Amino acid sequence: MSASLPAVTAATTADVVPPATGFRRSAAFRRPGPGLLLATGFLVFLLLGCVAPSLVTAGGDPFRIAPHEAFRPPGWAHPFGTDQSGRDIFVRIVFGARESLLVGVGATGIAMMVAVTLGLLGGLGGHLAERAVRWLLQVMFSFPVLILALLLSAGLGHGIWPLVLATGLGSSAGYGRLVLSQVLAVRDAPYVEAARALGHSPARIVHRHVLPNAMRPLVVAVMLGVGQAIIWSASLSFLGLGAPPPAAEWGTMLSMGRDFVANAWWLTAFPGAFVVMTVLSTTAIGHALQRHLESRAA
Amino acid sequence: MSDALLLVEELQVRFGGPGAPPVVRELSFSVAPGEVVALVGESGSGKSVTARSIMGLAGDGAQVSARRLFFQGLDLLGMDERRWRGVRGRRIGFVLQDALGSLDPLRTVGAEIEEALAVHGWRDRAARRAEMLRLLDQVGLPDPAGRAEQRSEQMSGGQRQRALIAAALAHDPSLVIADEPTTALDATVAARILDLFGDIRARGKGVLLISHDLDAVARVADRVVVMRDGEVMEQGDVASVLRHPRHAYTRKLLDAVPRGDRPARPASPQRPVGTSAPDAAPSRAGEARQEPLLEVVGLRKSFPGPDGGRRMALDDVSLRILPGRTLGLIGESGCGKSTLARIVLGLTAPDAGHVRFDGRAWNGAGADAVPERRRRPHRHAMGVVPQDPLASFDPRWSVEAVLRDALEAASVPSAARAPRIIRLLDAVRLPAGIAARRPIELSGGQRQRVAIARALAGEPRLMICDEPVSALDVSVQAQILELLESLQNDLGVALLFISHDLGVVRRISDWVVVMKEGRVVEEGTGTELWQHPQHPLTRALVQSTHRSAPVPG
Amino acid sequence: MSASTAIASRSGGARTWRGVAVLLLRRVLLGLSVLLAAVTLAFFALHVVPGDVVSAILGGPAANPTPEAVAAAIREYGLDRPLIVQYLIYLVGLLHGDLGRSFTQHLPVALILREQVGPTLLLTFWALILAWALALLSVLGTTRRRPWLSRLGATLETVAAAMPPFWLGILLLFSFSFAMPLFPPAGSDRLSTLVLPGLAMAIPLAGFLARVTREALELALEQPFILSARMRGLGDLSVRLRHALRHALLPGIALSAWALGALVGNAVVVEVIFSRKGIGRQLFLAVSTQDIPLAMGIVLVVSACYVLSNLAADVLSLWADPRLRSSRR
Repeated sequence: MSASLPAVTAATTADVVPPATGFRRSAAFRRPGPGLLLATGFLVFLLLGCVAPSLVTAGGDPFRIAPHEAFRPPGWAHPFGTDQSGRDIFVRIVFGARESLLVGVGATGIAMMVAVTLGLLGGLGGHLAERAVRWLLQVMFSFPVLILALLLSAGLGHGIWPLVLATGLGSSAGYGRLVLSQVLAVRDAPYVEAARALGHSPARIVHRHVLPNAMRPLVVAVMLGVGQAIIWSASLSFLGLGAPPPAAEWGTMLSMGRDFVANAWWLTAFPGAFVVMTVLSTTAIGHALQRHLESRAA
Repeated sequence: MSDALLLVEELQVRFGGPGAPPVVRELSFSVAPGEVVALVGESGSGKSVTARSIMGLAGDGAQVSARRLFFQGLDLLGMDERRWRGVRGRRIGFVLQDALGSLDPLRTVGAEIEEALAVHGWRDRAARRAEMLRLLDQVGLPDPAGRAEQRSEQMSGGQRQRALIAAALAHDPSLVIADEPTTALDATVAARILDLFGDIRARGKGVLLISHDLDAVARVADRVVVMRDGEVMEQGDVASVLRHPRHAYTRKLLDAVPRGDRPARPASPQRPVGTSAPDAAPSRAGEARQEPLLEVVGLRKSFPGPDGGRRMALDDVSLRILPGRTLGLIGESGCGKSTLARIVLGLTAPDAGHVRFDGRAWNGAGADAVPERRRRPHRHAMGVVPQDPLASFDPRWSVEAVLRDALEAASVPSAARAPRIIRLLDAVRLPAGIAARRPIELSGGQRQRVAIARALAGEPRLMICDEPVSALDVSVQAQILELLESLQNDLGVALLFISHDLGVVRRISDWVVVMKEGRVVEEGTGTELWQHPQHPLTRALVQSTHRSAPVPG
Repeated sequence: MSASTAIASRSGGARTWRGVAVLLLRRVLLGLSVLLAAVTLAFFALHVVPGDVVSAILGGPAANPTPEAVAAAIREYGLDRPLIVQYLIYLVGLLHGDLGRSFTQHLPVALILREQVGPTLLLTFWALILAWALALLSVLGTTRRRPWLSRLGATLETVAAAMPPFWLGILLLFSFSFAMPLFPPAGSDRLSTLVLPGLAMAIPLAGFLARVTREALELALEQPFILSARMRGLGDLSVRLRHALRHALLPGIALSAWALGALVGNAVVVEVIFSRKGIGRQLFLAVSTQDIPLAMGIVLVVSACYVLSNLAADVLSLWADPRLRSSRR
């Protein structure tokens, strides 16, 4: 388990692909397609699930045990079936949305804080600081996140926070690289030089030009990163590092359902599908955002 | 015109649905063997699309139609992709604009040309290589074997353009189409590249030359087709078009070019600016004692070179500019002009020498070093007009935000800023409504005006203009130069005007300094340099500006 | 390409290759320093975490060792010395190739790793190759083709990238081992056991690689040199393969180093699901049982994998992008 991919991707692309000159991305203006609408709809549904889960599930209880209803396949009474204790999978998924989204957003938030600190330090602190930050990022990349997660859960106990911390710290190196390359690019941009020539102070230039322009592409990376953070944290909680059962958390549910995969596929299929759909939705919105920003910039 | 090599009749190209306005409409012309035809127009006139349509590569979604489109009796309309490939590169050679991007940056030039040969049947490796070297030699590249191993980024602009032409000549095509082959090149290099097309014509081939610079192509073209907004304005023999332009647009294109046969700025009686001590020149007593606004003494600056050594960008350069005067600085790309501008602006420190501005130590090396803190309060007195104005604006900002920011830097109180913005826009002849727009939405000329307005915000005594018009269409160039001149008259601001085009510099400058490889090689008033160029480079620059001289006026 | 290989023999070539050697040497030293830092970090982090190391050695919290046994264990593993001394002893051991003895398995760590590293590396490389194959198939087959085909390719790649590897593993296990018993559900001895775990790890990665490569390919196809090559009579496919693809691969190659690291991480879950031998499982066990020497050994292996793959990506990039050879960084 390692750093969040979108950030790494963006940073790597920024490093490798020479800055585009003389051509423009085509199809800049696009009406929102059906994919984007679906994605938005799904996220709205999930957000509703976070705010008022009982409303979405018509008063269902994620922890109500009904042994006589165990292992019911999907049907009218239980759209996604029931688990080994007869708990309704759909209700549990809706109640689990809050934690999953919280983990995704929280981890990405932590990652961004670390990344922005490192990126600014390396980008504006001079040549030595830049090299030190690059080295530190390498070390962070090379360190197995699983160790981090296991250590954190040993220190903080099982639950959501070690998950958030481990995922966040684990993906911060990828964002760090992105922030660093952005800050470096903006630092040397002609408009920053123009601001210097006008006589603005360095502090003001950082505040007015470097920060806002370097952070712009991060909006997209964050959007894509939230989905990946959800995947990573689900993997960790699948390994037993998350909230212990019977918590209604997607990774935990998947981990429990694995034992019954041969005879009750719905225990794993639906929570997993929700992870995929959440990731797809954030990705779709991230890409739409990217297109929007690019069409404004080009 | 049955003997025409290329026959285009009523060519029409549009992008998008049938309702979309055509980008090329009812275009007719022909190219005969042994003839150079120039297709001339400003950007957006549809000339590049025309060239690509003739090659069957107008792009996705392009609808090309014509009454007749024949090449050597071959109907180019309705050919399938396989037959097209037999024509492209073998019977028609194409030289694309932007030589840097048109050669694969990951491959050597030799590999590119060999590929052009291999596509149409040169299977034998040794023969292919020999032919490749012959082609490089034919286009006048010295040391073909050495050049063949280089990639495009390792070559100069002129060498790259020659290599591209060599690739286009690979199969001795009967027609060569060249799309803006000289746009990015220094004038002297461009002239030599254009001569190459004359050589191709001499071998009985047809050449279709596409350019925005009527004056430049006149050097080699036999006939000219002037295009605007997809339509032909005028076509005919180059001599008659240049001598008696029938259409107003053609006249505008011709007038816009700062040509040698038009008068330069009247020479001042004394030497107001320049590198040599002003006392050496005959001068009026009153003005000689006037203190220079900008004084540059003994600047040196070197950078790490590509081979590990150090490359001298500036080697003992000295200049002075009196208040309200213009110093023109001219040289080919890489001669150190821009480094000088950066040092004068106080953005880089020199290795040796110093700069004084407005009676203050401004920049220098070692003991003369001036901390940025001391420069900052006086920076408003030195404006800058960059070559690429768009890149110099924060991409998020509107024109208003750009100007507001500049006024803030000049310590204009916030209440006074709004009316000042309108006055600034008015000064550069832009409507006030443009304030809300973002620079990306503006034309090249408008962007440069915004950049000039920004430079004016601090009520500068000196403006550094670093190639301010080289990226603009010729007619827009003329407008921007006029604007700078009238601003100078009204406001008394001094200019350091940097360019690679002697025609432009001569028009606006009181004194012209010629630089080569980091050194000043010659200086004088525009007229002096024009009439009696001493240094070979100056002579070449004058020559390249005399492009249309053969045509008797 | 005879021309490109001839670079080295020409006058400027010798200098270029010396520059490359210096560059690589610097990367190797950098890699070693990264490795040292990762090991150091892991050492102190593992020791700082609360938990009784001695009881881990003596059979976990359930065991009830005598005070003598405890004292003996402390002496044997040098646990009474200051942490910094233990760290230095560990480093000296590392230099001699001694990774210590596992607390729980009571075997030399090197021996355990030797047995477990192989299967994980095999799985990882196999997944990487599979991922590249899938990605190239999708990108070359669908980029800038008919609009619906391009969109289909891009959509499939996005969906693939959104798949959690462990979930994919469970689905594959259910579909192709239980519902349709085509492949073995567990084990690591035969080659057929590589298919499902390999796919589970490769598909999400393929999605990412494909997306990056597609974007780069689209970018490359817009460059003037592509039009220039078309103007010389090259066909669409040969332009893609000979010109655009090389440019399009650059970001993916650089990403592969990172990807290999991520794959080693992913191997943990996949190894658990498919009950495979490998360091992923061992890492999981080692940390949960406080087996510090074993955990350290695995951190060393994982970090070394990352450092080595980074180096490999550097070399590959140098090969694919001659511009890097002349620029000195």
